[in-house]
Amino acid sequence: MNQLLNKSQIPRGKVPTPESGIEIKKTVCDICNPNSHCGIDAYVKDGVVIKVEGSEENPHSGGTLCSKGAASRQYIYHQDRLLKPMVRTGDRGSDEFEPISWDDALDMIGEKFNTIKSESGPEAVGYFVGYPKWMRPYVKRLAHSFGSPNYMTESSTCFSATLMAAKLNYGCFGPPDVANTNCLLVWSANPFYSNTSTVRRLLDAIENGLKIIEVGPFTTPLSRHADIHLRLRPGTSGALALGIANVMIEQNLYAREFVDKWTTGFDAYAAYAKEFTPEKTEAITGVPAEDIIAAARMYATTKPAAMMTSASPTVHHTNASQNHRAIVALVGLTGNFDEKGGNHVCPPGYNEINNGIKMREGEFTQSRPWADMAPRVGLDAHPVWCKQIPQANAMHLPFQINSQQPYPIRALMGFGLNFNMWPGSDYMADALTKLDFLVDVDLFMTPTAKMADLVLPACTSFERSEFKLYTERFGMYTEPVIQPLGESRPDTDIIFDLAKRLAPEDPLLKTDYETCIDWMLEPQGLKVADIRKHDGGCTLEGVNPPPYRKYEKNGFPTPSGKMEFASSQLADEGYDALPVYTEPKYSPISTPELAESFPLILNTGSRLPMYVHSRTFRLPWTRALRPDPLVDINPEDAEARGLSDGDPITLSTPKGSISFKAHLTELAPPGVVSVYHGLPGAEINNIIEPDYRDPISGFPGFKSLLCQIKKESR
Amino acid sequence: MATRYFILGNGGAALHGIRALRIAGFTGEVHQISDDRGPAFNPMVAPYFLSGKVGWETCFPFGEAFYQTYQIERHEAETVVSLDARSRQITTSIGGTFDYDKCLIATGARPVMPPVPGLQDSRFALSLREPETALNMVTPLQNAEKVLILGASFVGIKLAEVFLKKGIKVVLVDIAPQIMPQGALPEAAKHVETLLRQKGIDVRLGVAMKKVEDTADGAICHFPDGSIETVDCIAVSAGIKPNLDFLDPEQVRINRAICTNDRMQTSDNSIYAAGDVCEALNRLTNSQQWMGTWGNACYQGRVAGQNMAGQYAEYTGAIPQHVSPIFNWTYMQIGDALRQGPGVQQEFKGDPFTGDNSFTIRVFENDVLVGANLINAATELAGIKMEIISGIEAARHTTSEESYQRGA
Amino acid sequence: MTQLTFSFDVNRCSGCLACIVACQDQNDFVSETVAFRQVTSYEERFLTKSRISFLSLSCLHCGDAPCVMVCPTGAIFKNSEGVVDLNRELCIGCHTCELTCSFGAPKFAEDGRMIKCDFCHDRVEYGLKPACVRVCPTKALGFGPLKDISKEKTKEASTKILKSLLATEPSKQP
Repeated sequence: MNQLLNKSQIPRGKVPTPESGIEIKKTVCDICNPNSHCGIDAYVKDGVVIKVEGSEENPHSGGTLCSKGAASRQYIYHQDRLLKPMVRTGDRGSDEFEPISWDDALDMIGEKFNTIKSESGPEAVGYFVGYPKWMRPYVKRLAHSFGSPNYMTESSTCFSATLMAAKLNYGCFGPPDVANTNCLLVWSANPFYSNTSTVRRLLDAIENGLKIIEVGPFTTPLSRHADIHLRLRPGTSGALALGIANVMIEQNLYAREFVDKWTTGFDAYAAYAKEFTPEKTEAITGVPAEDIIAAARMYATTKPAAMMTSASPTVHHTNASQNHRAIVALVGLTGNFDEKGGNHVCPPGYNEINNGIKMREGEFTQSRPWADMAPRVGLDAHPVWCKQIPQANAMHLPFQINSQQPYPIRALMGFGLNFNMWPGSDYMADALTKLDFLVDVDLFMTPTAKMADLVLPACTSFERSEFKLYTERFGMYTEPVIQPLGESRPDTDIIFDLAKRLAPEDPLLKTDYETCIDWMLEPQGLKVADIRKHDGGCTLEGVNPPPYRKYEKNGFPTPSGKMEFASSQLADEGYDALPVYTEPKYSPISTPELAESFPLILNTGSRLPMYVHSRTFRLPWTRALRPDPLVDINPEDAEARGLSDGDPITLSTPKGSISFKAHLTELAPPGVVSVYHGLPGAEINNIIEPDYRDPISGFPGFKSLLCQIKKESR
Repeated sequence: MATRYFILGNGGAALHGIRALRIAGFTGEVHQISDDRGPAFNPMVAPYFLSGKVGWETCFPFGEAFYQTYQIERHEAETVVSLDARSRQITTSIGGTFDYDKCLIATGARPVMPPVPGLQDSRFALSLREPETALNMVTPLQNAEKVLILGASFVGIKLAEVFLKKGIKVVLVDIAPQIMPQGALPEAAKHVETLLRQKGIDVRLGVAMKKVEDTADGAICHFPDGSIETVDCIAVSAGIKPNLDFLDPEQVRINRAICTNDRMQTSDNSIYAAGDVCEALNRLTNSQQWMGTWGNACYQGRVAGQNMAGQYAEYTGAIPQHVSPIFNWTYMQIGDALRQGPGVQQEFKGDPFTGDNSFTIRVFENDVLVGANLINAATELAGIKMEIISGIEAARHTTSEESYQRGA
Repeated sequence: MTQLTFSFDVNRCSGCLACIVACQDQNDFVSETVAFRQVTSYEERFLTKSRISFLSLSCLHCGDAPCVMVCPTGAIFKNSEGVVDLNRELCIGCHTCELTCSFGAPKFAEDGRMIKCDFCHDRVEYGLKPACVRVCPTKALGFGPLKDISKEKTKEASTKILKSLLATEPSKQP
């Protein structure tokens, strides 16, 4: 990257004066999840980005960036950026590739996929999108227009299970109204590291007296602000939620009127919650009884109160679906559902940003009804999840590839595919080798890309346009701030070109990105051109926040029309209707013999500020912030094993072992260790069993496993 | 008559004293007597000028305008021959006598000439302390084939590097059994010695030169074992001694250098001393020590000037410390690393030739950190400094009477 | 001379480390481990709970900067805004400033000369913020004239103290 900078030509301080030749161009960072995507001021000189800053006028991010966004230049200009389409010449996984032209590559895909379609049906071709998510609606439409129901995303291991669980209760859900609440129950979330774009508002609210109840095994930057920290054993959230409900019901602190009028199944729920006395809940969760009572009282009696959950931690357990139902049930139980200062429901907007905008995304993406296509991957295994989430279940994919039941999967079109996101990643990697044809679109030659037959270079957000919405009823249509590097292309260009070969009849995919968005925007009466002319974005005209208590007008979008403490949809499929608590599949309570050899509870994948999934490890600036593969371990547990900070260790699960270094910290409670996922050379998901998953959602139990740690002699 | 203050010397201590005097509002006469002409010279910079890193002007950090800015009456190229504290009179080499109200002695130090027969008068012997002698090294740097550096002090090692990098053969000699004999532990010195040898410097330790003979081709240096080296230049870097011969020890107390209190006064109230000519508080040992560094000189001069102007300023002392960049290494010493005794323990870590190339020796006395040597370990310096200082604070709290008396 | 200063709110800093990378992005160091900002964490345990705090530290642009005093060539100086700045052409790379600074502010570049935080003073003069202050997601970092920052902090602290003295509810757990 340094070669791009002629240092002598960079003005002092990179100050953008008229004479300096530096232009500030607006774009967004899309390294992490759509809830951030901070606005960026790119300092461009002679066609090269020489510095990045956050855009101050962006109402969402307000000028901030995290360490990853601040390292954007090392991302954009990394020496390993894929610059040409590549076709495999050696054996699969041998990393022997040679360049191929875009047309030849796209024709090859068209030919292969259409052949497989004619031989085995369109469902034999899967379409997968990892990160970023900006092009997802177009991949989904392409898949269905091609005829395949198998549109899958990494949401099969992220927020979709929390959404499913919430929808089983309420039919819909909403984020906490932080600006107007007086008490925030933060359940397994670390917004300081997962969503830096708005965390300043949380801090302001805290300084103004907002009460915080934090639930989570680990100490986080939030803990110093928490009035109460419920430091529970991983995987026991369901029990804790029921314990809190117990207190509210016993002490008659719950929202009687809402419960009487707008819920079903309360009596059965209350009877079940009766078992979870503070003492019993303490025994299960490890949280002191007096803290449970205090938290329950605070959340129930402070009005209004809101609940903040995160996309995945509460559903990364083998018992997660019911756990999360129990958690979010507390919102309704306290009468904070769709309330000002509570959790405010916003109808779906576009690409996971719900800000009140009316767009036809569902209609656009579901270009063919499910009934007209073969059953989705995972429909048989996870019917409840499939009913709530309009995708195929990616966690089930390697199983279907192997079993070929109910039909074989023969090809996969991947955008940012990463087999390390699957539990038992070697199982997924092995499944990929069984495919007849694998295509991966990415910015780098990742381990997954190395296994593909065709690798196509995508470009970063700096090198293309994007339609981006924010919850503040703000919208942007970005322009590229620099030319795409090499022959890399915007993902949507690739998709539309694929459509010519794979779904030539589709009227909308015949057009282009902007036209499709205009089509989706039609109900709102806006056009891309209106938004595009505002460099850096604009407030969206005619977009208003939805009213509160919409259920009073429309009921709840559930079978009963009410909030369901007991879910009929679960009962229909043979699961417990109530949010019944069960132990994680491996735990000191459920598998005590196993816990003798593997006495430590293993949590994986909790957020670090400098990494997000497998991204940013190759950026020197972010990598230097935490270069070694570490296990966070409490000093007590370390001492018992003769470990000092930095000692080489082996972490073992029933499936296998990996080498790490010990990081002694009080952030981890005694008895629990934490490992980040995606660490190059130390991929923790490899030593998790591929079927260590929640049966209802199919989600991996990433956050409650068992392991042992031993000092390694090196 | 107007108040007359005399500043003796033209170095860091003198000039900071002058500046502090004027900034504090002293409006009387300020006279300066020095044996040189022109702006103040910092000998520390000379090796870097010789290596070509900076220009000649950079050796004069205060510049030429200083004296006019601070309204100094200069008496250049005059040496103080005697100072009579009773009559408050200074006599100089050209026979002038001056009366002073207050005086700041900042005459610095001069190079020690080891008593090697023939060395003092050799026309090939040069030292770095004065601008002229430093400039005189420029020619040997361009033309010499071989030089001998007498004294493996920090300055000597720096000069060795300068000459070596010009492609000149270097013989580095010291009478001590190790290089860096002031403050470096033998193990640390050994590592640096290895580095110097690796670079091709001919290091000869424990050697007392027998004599020096000038010839037309160069200086013949005679070694105790009978061998000789013919060199184009002998750089003398065998230490310095304070310039205080003009003082009467009956009038002004002198130890290894002029004794001062925490206001930089000598035993005579009207006479202050600062810089390489004086001793001052070593905070680590809580005793007076001669610690001649540019930084200490500047601070001491400033304190003296403030006090002379009637303000109250206290010199809170210094902890002995030194840093030398040597080739691509950085060597640091801090505190009292050479401490010995029953309660003293040394902790070694690392190896400058392997791994991350860092090496430290921490020296503890009764489990309190008192000193350290560091090679390529600057990241550990702050922690070591803090630990040494907190050790001092802890010690202070245990001595009650002494601290009451000192008013600490 | 106005004295510029950084301000830091330990209650807001989350240890996200963005300030370090923003400094690197601004200054284009050759090595990725060099930055003018360091962030240190401090953990405290209270029975079954714990707390973590962070400190982000750069050059403090000391009022009576020791590095300015001890620099043998006068290469280090305080500019008109109290920023401790460096004229690299005068730097001989003697490391005396590194030895003297208690905060580890002086670093050294490939040319052997010193480099250090210069408060992004070229940007500040133009009305922009230092890179670290600009990036901070929690607004823990700030900057401004020392007098103004001092006043603000006094006011904030007094208000907090008054609020806690007048409060009837128990304060937050440690």
